[in-house]
Amino acid sequence: MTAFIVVIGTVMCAGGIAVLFVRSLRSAAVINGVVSLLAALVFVMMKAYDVAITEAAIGAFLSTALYFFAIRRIDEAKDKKGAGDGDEE
Amino acid sequence: MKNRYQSLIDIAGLIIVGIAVYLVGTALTDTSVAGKGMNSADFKQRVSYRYVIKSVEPSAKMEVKWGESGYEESSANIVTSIVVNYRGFDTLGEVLVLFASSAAVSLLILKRVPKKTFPPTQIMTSSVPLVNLLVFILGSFIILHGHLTPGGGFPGGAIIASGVILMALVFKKAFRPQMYLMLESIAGMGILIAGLLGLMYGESFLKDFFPAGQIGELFSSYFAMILYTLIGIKVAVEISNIGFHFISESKGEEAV
Amino acid sequence: MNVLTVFLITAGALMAIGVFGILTRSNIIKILLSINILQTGVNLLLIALGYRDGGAAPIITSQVSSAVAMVDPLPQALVLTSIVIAFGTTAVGLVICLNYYMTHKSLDVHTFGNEEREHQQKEVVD
Repeated sequence: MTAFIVVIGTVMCAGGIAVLFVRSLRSAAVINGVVSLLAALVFVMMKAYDVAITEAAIGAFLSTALYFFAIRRIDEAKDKKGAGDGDEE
Repeated sequence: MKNRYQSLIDIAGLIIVGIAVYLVGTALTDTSVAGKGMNSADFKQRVSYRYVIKSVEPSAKMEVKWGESGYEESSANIVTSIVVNYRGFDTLGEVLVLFASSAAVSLLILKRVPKKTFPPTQIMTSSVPLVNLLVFILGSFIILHGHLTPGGGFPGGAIIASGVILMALVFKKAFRPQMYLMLESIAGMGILIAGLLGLMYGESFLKDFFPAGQIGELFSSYFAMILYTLIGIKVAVEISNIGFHFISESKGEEAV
Repeated sequence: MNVLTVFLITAGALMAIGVFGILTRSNIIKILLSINILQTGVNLLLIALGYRDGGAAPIITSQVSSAVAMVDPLPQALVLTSIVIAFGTTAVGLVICLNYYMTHKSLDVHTFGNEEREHQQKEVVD
């Protein structure tokens, strides 16, 4: 049980560092969603079930969707069709 | 062009964060200072013990069991009873913050200049109504059973809002915002009217004035069910309003 | 090293990573993502402080009455509020980022006061 939580904690910290250093903004938003989902898993292990459902519904899904909508609008305003992978800047 | 001093800024940030972590860590785990470290208070002396046994008697020996009635609060989910009943004023503040953020997004969003978009494919137009049926049923179940199972108004409202945003992405002209926003106003006024009824029939604002029900039944805690339904509707409308403004193509002011 | 210590160290590490990101990044979307990671870390810390070894979930069922040792339900109610408010601030922050891009044509924080040098600077990555 402790080893399992140590592994999940390491993956969360690695994801947190990866958010700061990847180049593509869409990848950073996806990794943020993954960190949020792992936090929901940790909430279940701490026996906090209401918080787990709320974090999974709001943090993992809606927040990531909002980032994708905003990045799409930035791409459109840059005179570039928004079909490429992520924002190079 | 990368910032020339980026590595210097990184190292400076690392030093600052390292010093802060060291200071906070030694301050919180120091056992010679009063408190004996974090998470050390006896659970029977915390405030939440009074929420768990649903009484403020100092020598309460009663044990709240499934199926009994007559307590001062009759919902089986203790977190729901805290959010709706014991700390209902904080929930009112949270609803206010969500309303403020939804209004801010509506006021600040600029006009979008849409480029070439692809029409939705056959997979989306034929599967989204089926998936949304399950999504709306799940969201309503989580809202209505907030006092029996984990969940409540906030995740249920978010799930319904995600279903609505999915429909708006695929079928572009499906919703009229005017009627939808009227629903949010009615739900918000309903919350305030419930609070004022608590002031009239109970002793204080947002007090549960219904008679105590049986813990575990679906219709045991009317106040929690009514308040969570109104909060669920309001949260769903507000979050889908935020989503609409991000994806719509005709609203907003012109960019300067 | 028991379970509670691992929870606390994870939450503290996420908070430190979030603060580091706010201090050193130049792209405003990266700064907003770091704020999100900081909020996730704070929520983990608050619930870890209410954890109890061998505790049950705070729901009264037919097998669990209030005499069973339960975890602390009060921090969970406060973290529910915190998660929803984090979403609200993310939405408003993204709208501010969009407006910043529309007026300055760049996602870099350092072009805010240096508009006469904008034609020399391209957008940055970090």
